[in-house]
Amino acid sequence: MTDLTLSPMDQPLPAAPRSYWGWVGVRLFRPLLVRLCTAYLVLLVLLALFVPLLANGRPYTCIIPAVAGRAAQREYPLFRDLNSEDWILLVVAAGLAAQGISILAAHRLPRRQRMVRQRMSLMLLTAVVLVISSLIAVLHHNRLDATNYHRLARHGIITQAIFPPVPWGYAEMEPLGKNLINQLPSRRHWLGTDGDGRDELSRLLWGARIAMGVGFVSQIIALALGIIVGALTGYFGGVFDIIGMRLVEIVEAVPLLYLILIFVAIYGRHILDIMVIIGVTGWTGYARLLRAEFLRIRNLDYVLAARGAGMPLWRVLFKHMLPNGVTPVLVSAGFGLAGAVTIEASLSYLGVGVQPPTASWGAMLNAAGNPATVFRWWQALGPGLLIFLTVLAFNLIAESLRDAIDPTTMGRS
Amino acid sequence: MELEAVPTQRIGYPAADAMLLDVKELTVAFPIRSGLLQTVCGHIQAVNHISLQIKPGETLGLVGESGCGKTTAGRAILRLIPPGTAEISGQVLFEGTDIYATRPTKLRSLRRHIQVIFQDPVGSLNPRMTVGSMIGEPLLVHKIVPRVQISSRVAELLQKVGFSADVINRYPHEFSGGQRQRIGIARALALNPKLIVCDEPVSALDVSIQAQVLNLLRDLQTEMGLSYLFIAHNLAVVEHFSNRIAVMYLGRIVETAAACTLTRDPKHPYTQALLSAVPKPEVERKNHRIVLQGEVPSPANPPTGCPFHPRCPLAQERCKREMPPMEIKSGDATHLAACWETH
Repeated sequence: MTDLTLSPMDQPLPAAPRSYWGWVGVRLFRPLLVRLCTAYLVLLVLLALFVPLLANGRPYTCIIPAVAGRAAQREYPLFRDLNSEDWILLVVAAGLAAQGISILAAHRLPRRQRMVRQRMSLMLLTAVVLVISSLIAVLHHNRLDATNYHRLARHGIITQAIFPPVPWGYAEMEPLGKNLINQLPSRRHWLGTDGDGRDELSRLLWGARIAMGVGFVSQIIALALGIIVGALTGYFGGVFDIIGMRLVEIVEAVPLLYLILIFVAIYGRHILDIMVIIGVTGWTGYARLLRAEFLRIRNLDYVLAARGAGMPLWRVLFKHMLPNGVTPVLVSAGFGLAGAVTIEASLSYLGVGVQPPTASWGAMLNAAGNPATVFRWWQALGPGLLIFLTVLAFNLIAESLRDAIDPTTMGRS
Repeated sequence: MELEAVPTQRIGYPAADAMLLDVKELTVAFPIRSGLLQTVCGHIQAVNHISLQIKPGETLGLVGESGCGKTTAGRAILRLIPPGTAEISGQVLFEGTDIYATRPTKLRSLRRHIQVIFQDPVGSLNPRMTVGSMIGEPLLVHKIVPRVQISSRVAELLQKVGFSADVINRYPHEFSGGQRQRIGIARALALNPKLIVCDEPVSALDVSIQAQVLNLLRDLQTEMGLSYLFIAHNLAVVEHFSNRIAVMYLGRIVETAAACTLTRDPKHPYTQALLSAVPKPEVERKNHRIVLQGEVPSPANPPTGCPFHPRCPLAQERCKREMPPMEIKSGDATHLAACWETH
């Protein structure tokens, strides 16, 4: 036997240790195409959050003249018109931004301190966002403002008006008498108008909100259900497994489109219903994947070690097992997002999606070829392209994620 | 079936209440399922009525060839066989408490005292956790030390196994096999256990590293008063490391004795064959190697009578019919073997 003393370091360790997710991140974002897709999707999400500030028929600010004894004063019609949903989304966006800033600010701290600080700021910001959002939901009253600010500005009644970059609301129609329906792109309407004289560009941007909303909300619901069912069936096996898998088969046997059609027929067209239905029928794939992973992982030594150390069940399941088994589920969720966007678009195309005048890409696409004797290319190009690009981007990122987590290609980076 | 039921005589020490670990008639059977309805059509008797005792501060070596059920026995003692996959009977008494009769909440606090070190240094550490969080987590969950002292306690444990404290933020893949095994030992030590089940802790390591890890385990034993259940297939390692040795064959314990007695005077033909396979450093002495014929029988369909009889050079008619009990075979009252033919 050779040297039996313990050396602290038998071999030098790499200088910059990187976590597994650090590796996956680096490998995921290496291809230019994936970076472009990510940038596009981030843009779309930002658009979905901030669209009332970008495409709106009301000016940010203007001066309202003196009327009936009231002095002339500065007004903020756009902000006064935001409804509680918009405000809540803005608060959420602000919270996300603050969390991003706190992560950036802490990145020089030692790891332990950084983790503590990030967890603190996350908890604090979540609490603040929740409190403010619920206050908004309770206290805010939506205001009906049908004033045509464009006309007022044109006639010089309101002055110093600053309009958003796209100065049209999604439901704002040009007056019928002006013959401005189905207009080709012009300087007034950059992507033309639709059959009701509404601005196409504005509706495209507002449509991103519906697409992203349906995609993310439905997939978050699906992931939550799939992870819970998959984790329990995979870990416990036996009776849990039999019941869980039969449940999966039952849910899989329900045709999604018919279910949605029935719901719409009974309860009307609510976008939230559609999100929930896509979510509660779409979790089966995730449950199957996670179950398979958990069946493999539950016999690995580190899980036995965690159980042997007397860890509580939830800690074994979600701290030791889930991070090691969740990657295929995440890949699948990427495809699921694309699928949900497609489902929403097709439902709206068929006229059972969102309630008009809410803008949705599918409904806009339908309007471009309706009646069937016409085809207005400018009305089809925007929504068609955006649906295509969004689905493509989600698919490309999911596929790249699948490659990035593939252990057989790990050494090649 | 009557032959199966021959009870194994209680072996080892008479005063059972002084035992740290007292395993009585532990049996683990994995059901074999087949067909469309997954009906049970047989059982794999991985562990068959084994009994063993460990005193405080003692090391019991459990040896046997691959597939004889040593690892399953270790896991069953830890109650770590995944729920619903096996039928387990018998008793595992840790300080008088039956692990299998304990409620889950109580079991979790009991687990503090029994820890485990695994064979595979790659699979035994969670690849998504840093060394620090891995060792610190049990401390946090069992509230062994106040939250603020966890990192200093982790550093102390790491020092004990020969690391400097700056490895806390490293991930397992950055370490070599021997280093990982030492991290696994530090994790097992975190809860100040009384018993550590070492499941082939060195068989995946280079020989020089093996000695390193074994010396570390022995130093820790004297320092902290640990007991070990040392599972291995290498008799040479076990005989230098253990106070007592139990030899397993096909799910049964066939011989048990103090380490020196067993190596000097093996009674069971299987132990004799195992020992003859251990290389001896003396050049002069001609080594008579006993080569066993045939294969290990399937535990799904074990032979009748003595499980070793198809391969045993001494086998007689009686061995095929009746299961030999564990009997005292020499002047030493702790030396027991299950064989009809040796005395």
